[in-house]
Amino acid sequence: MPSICFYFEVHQPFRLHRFNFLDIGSGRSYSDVPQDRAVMEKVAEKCYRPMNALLLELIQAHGGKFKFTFSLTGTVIDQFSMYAPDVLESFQALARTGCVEFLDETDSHSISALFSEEEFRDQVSRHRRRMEELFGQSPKAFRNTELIYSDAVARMVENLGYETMLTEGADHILRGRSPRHVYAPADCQKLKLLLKSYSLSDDIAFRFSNRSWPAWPLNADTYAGWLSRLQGNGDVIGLFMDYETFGEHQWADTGIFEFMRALPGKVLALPDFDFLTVSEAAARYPVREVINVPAPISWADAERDLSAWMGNDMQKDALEALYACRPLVQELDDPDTSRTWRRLQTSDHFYYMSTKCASDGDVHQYFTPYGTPYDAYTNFMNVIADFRLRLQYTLRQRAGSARNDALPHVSLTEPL
Amino acid sequence: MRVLMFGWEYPPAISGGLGTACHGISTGLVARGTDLVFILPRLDGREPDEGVYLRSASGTPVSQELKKAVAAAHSHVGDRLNLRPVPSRLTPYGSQGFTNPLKLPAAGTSGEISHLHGGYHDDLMEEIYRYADAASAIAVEEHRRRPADLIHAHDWMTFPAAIAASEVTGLPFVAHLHATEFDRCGEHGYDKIYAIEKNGLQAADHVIAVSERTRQMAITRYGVNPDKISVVYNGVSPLAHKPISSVPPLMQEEKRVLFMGRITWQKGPGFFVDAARLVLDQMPDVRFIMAGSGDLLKAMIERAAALRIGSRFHFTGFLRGEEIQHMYAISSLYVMPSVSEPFGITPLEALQCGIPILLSRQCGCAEVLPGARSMDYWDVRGMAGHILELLGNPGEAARSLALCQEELKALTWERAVDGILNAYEHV
Repeated sequence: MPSICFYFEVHQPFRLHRFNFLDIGSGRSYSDVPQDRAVMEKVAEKCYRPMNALLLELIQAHGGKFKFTFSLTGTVIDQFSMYAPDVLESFQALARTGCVEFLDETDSHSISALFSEEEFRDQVSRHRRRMEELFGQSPKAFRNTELIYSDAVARMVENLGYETMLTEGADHILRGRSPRHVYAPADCQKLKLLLKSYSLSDDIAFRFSNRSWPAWPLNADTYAGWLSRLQGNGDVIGLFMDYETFGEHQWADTGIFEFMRALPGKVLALPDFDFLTVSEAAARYPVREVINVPAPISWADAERDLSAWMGNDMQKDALEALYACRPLVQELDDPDTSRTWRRLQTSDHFYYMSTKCASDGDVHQYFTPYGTPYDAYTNFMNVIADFRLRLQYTLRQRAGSARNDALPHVSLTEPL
Repeated sequence: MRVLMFGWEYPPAISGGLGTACHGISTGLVARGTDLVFILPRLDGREPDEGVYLRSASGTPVSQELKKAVAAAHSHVGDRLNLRPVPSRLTPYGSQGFTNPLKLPAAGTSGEISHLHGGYHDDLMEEIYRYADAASAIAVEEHRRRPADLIHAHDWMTFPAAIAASEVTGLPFVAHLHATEFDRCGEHGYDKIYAIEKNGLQAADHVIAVSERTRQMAITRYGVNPDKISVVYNGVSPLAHKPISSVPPLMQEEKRVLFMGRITWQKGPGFFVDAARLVLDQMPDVRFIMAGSGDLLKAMIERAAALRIGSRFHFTGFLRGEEIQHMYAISSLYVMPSVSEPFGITPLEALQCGIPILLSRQCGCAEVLPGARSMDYWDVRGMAGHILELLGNPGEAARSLALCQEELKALTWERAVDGILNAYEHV
């Protein structure tokens, strides 16, 4: 009995404004508040509000048989609170239906799992507290930023007490096996792995509006037909995608909302098909096999590896310079500074620095607020230079060795 | 003395030292009582009003008759130069020329209007010939209005215009060499530009080179007769007011090393990035600034990233006006690591702002600034060593600065104009 697991990732980064060389050490803030607000207002209007309303309507219409899973980053939650509190309330309304599972992830949508286990654990526990406070759920399932996954990351996640984890059904880890089973990570005792069926997911997330795609225009009947052919050929179909697919990446006029409005009914009309949240699916189906993933994978770009964030020297230099600040942030132990530090870790900053060309370059270009990856890097490095100077100055000040008059107007409060 | 001057850049629309030099030279000549007409590809309306009569080639009507005369001049000079590899003009007032202004071809009250962009862009090569037509038309008109003594042209973009205008009017032509294709591109220059430079320098009645280094370049690379080249070093205009150094509070305890210029092969930016890595290994709290833009900008950003110095090596992009002064003023050291620099005005500006300089030995200005530290541009270890010494030893930095500032006193545009007026005596 195949189960459909829809999982939607909800995320917005805190973007940096132009931070010039002469801004370094001047006390200027980093955050591009007007841009963040404008993007949030736009995406709330095009995606979050109409799609949350549609999902609530579908849950009610199908009497609880339509279920799905969300993951909201801490940064998008902060931005909802600041710019669109009604959207946050509509997510809470969805949580109250009992048909929606909320996952944990790193609070600031970082790739800290690859740099510091301690930092990773801090960010995950911060996220867990938020899920409890906002949605009354203690997540038992986890997704790492951009579905970044390896055997080592799985062990860290199991040690944090999670029972289920999601990642990409990448061909090179499956080696001919089907993504539509529950798997077990190598070297873990309890943790189960659910995989993204990337072809079916990308039909909705990427290809839906592509007029040169033979299946265009895709309707719910056709798609349900594709699903029905998988009957007897797997237990769980992981349809994992960015939530902004609905109305933002695929605009309303592509018919994406009509498609989603019709799909649950078509699927539920198929014999033996149902919808489950990821934890329900992991509990229902047996573990098929162990999967070994020694080198990290992700759901990004054609490579499905880390090259979207760590593919070139600019990205590596930026990440190394950023994580080199961690001991100072720890020593200072100031809540505002720590928050800035976490927001600087958001993976988007490094994604903007990607120099990949061809088709993935277009995807990077779609999301970036910068003209070029070089601008993204040089701007970020100015910010990091400033952040480090602030940390050093504040620590010296605390130790009584800095001149207090050096910075009459520099405040560390909310630089980002 | 009445001079028809041809130039491609003039403040504020400048891309580098050429525009700065044209400004210093023309205001200096006017101050000396020279009657000067400065013909630019176009005016953008923001040029300062300092008594220099600026004219725009763009918008000038060019008659068919004049166009034919310009084309004939180019082909005539081309033929002549091809026949004689090292020519000097035996009949300086040109038998082909129209020595009597009254017999000049109709330049322009009617005819096709020429439109030019100015600056540097993809159809520059085509534009310099449109400029040749229009500038010749203006030269004819100005020469007819009041007979001129000579044509003075700055760099290769204006050489075809000067060749034509000289042939058409019969006026002698002085070529001012601020940079050559070998300076800009080494052995990989564009042969068409080289040919234009060579034709211009050989057709010129006299050549002004901005340094001995450039004079040698004209002799060895372009076969110019050494006797017709004068060296006239550039100068620097006095600052209206010395910029106030306002280093952001948290940066005050650090030292800053500045590279400012076009980020191109000629300026040696890669050697500066490599030296920065060596300096940071010894002195981790130094900050490096690369100000400017150019075709190697991305490569330099990638190089800094590969060397993992991006949080200490900053790129500002192209700066203008007061931003430039400000950047000098907050720097602790200015480095010009050029692979081939005919002169180099920016180190003089840095000295004016009170910061010590470090030059490559391939900079023409090093000839007149013996007090400056220098090394060969490829000597990255030497460059790092000088930077470490000048930053680590303020006394030594101050001593070098004082020597250079003394030498700077002689580097005025007034002195440069003396040299130019002397050079005019040769024609």
